[in-house]
Amino acid sequence: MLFVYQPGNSFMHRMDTVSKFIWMMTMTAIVVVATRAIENLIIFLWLLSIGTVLSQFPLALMVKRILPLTAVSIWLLVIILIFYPRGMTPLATIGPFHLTFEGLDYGLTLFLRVLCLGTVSIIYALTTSPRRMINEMIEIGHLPYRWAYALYAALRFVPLLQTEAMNIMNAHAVRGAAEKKSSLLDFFKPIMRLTLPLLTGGIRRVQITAIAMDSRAFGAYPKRTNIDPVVAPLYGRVFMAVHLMIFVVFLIWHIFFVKGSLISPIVT
Amino acid sequence: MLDPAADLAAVHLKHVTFTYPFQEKPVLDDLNLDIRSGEFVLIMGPTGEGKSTLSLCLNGIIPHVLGGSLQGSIRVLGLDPSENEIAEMATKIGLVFQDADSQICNIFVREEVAFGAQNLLVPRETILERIKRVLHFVGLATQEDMPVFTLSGGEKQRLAIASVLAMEPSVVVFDEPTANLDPGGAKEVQALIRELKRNQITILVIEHDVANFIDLADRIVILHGGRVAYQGPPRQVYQQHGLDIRDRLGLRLPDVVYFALEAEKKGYHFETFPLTVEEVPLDYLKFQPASGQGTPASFATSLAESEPIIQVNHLCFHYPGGPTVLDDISFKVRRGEILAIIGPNGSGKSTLTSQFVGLNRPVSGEVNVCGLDAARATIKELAKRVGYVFQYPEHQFVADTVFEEMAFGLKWQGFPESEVNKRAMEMLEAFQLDGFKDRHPFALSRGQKRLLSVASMLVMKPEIFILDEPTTGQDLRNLDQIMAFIQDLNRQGLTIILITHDMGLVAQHAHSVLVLEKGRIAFHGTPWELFARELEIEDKYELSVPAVYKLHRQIRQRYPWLPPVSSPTELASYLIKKG
Repeated sequence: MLFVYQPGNSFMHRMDTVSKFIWMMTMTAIVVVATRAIENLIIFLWLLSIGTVLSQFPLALMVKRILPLTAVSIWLLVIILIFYPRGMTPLATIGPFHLTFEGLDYGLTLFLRVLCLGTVSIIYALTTSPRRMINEMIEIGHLPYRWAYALYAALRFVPLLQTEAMNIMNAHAVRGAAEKKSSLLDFFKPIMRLTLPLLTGGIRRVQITAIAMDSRAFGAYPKRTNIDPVVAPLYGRVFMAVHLMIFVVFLIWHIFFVKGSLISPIVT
Repeated sequence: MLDPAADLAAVHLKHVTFTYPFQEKPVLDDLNLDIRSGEFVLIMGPTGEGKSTLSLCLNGIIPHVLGGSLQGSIRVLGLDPSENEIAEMATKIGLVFQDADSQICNIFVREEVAFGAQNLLVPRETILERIKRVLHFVGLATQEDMPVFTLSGGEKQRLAIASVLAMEPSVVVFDEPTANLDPGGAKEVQALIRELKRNQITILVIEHDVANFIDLADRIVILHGGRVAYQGPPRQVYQQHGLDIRDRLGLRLPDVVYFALEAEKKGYHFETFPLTVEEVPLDYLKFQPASGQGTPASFATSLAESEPIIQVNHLCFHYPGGPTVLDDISFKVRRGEILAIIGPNGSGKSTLTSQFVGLNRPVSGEVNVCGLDAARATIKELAKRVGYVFQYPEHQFVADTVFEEMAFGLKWQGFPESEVNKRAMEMLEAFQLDGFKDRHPFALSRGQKRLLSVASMLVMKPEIFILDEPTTGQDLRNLDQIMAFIQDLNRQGLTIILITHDMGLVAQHAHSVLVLEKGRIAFHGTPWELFARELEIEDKYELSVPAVYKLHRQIRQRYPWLPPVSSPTELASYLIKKG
């Protein structure tokens, strides 16, 4: 499970979840601004060090979590290396494909970008208790608790729906509904067949949950009693603010001192 | 004008009629009911007769949330739910639903218990004290900080009860609280409800299978056509109306009640109508040998000579990277056998049967189905021989009309169109679904959906038929229709595998039983051999021995010649007719 919370008491675990959320969004913005492979490599190493030192996860665990993302990013690297249209400096020729240094650089950039975005999300998910996240989104972020609970209830349904989808696909398989993929329509039919029972089952569940919540006075008052005291150490806000400043500096540097646009297009 | 009865009763309904939005027929129709404070009331009735609707009227969900037209007078502890906020009613009456997974809306145990009290702005210190107290009461004190998904089915239902109790209601309504649980989980919840009764809480239990609550009930209420058909002390209601409740309303009766009614037909009269095995007056009843048809247990002996249709040798299975699910399983199923596979949730029952249709393949060991190696045969080859009916009928529907649903598998197996149409129509008629052939399968009633799911598999004329939890959501009449049909086919050679928690079904239909426990075979033999290990069954495997077996054992101490029986009716057939 890529994104399941791992309890702990590290720097990142103790930080308030709202500051951590803003930090995650800031890192995402920095990754988007970084247009060269070397920049993304530095960001990736920085995130890896946050994962291992500030979150206290073993390097092996981080690698294990990041590994599934490499499958997607390697595919991206190969495609861009082969089909990059603006390459000028030859690197090698394999059959009909002329590989270039520019293609390699851009492919590596996207490869590392996917890894960076994945790693920052993994750090957030692994160090953030869903309970604390919702609580602090309400108490610190002033998110209306009805909205926060909609998100929370949805999180609870994910494993239930996964199990139900698997059961439905098995039931369809023994009826022969998983076969025949001779046309595009046949390809989409199993998805359409899965959707109806999953949707009706989901609606039924949501109705029961809504009734069960209403039966326990959900939404009776504008506020609820908070039973978990909010702990928001100052260092969390400092950590977030430092990254925000880095982002602003990095953005200005890119706008005024780095040649080319912020996000290099694949086709000109 | 104030109604004195309304002030005295914990729950008071007078001339209550309710119709859901966009429907014409009322679900509750001039319903009158009073429930005293501290009373334990069992509410029964056929599916769709307003039992759950009644519970939603009591806490104000109807009409505040679900709308509809509500007439008449309702009072719960003196408050009118339609005139008071749901928050106000929530402190008076709590609802526990059948599906704990849908009822629970938090990820951790502690916050689920606190949820209602938090909504009511109860002070933090009070909530923390309630969490400790209530979790201790339901036996989940050590799981306070655990995520909900780590709990078993029974623990989840106990958590759902805890979350209601934390709001300190005086009345608690349980809507089929054990219907989704394995026998172990059901026992946990039953014990908890017994404990609540001792605490003088007013309890309403809505149930199909009331055997486990019958000795607790002060009163039984039978709903039919949206109103009270019968009500009174259980002994009185069952003695006077039991046959009508079973035959006309299609409701399940406890084994002992069923037996006692059969005995009364033979001229016996009980001064105290028995509800439990201990209450049956054995001195009064006289038995004699009778020539009856063979029981499943005796039939099993003749099966020993027939050829094996499924052979499993040293089967081991685990999902990639996961723990062992099936561990060194070996057994045979003979042609024409009815095998029941039982065991707690997660013991590997469905994973085992999924090997017979190729949904999972052995990691090691051999599975041979109708002469095919299940490790190599395609799903299509296996599905031609094995019909698999899943627990929830909706899961297996793949077509847009009932007729197409029936024809789908036949077309897949390459039958000519004329044969497809002929077989599909014959099967629709056999299951009385021909009148709905152009309807969408999802538009059928719950009972019809189950019939369609069974029929769409039987139309393939399989050699083996697997039924996963056939009793789920089915009333007695529907279940009897299905079982009668497939038993008829069994006499013609169809091999049947039942995955079930219902020990009554096992006693009545199975020739043999396989008990799985943590992926290993804990027992394989006849139902009677299994029931004979009563203590082991109840303590180790957390299963329940059917009351008919317990009663039979008591009688057999006086009449050692009494052969094994499969149902209360069969047991009663040995009674000497009086007068």
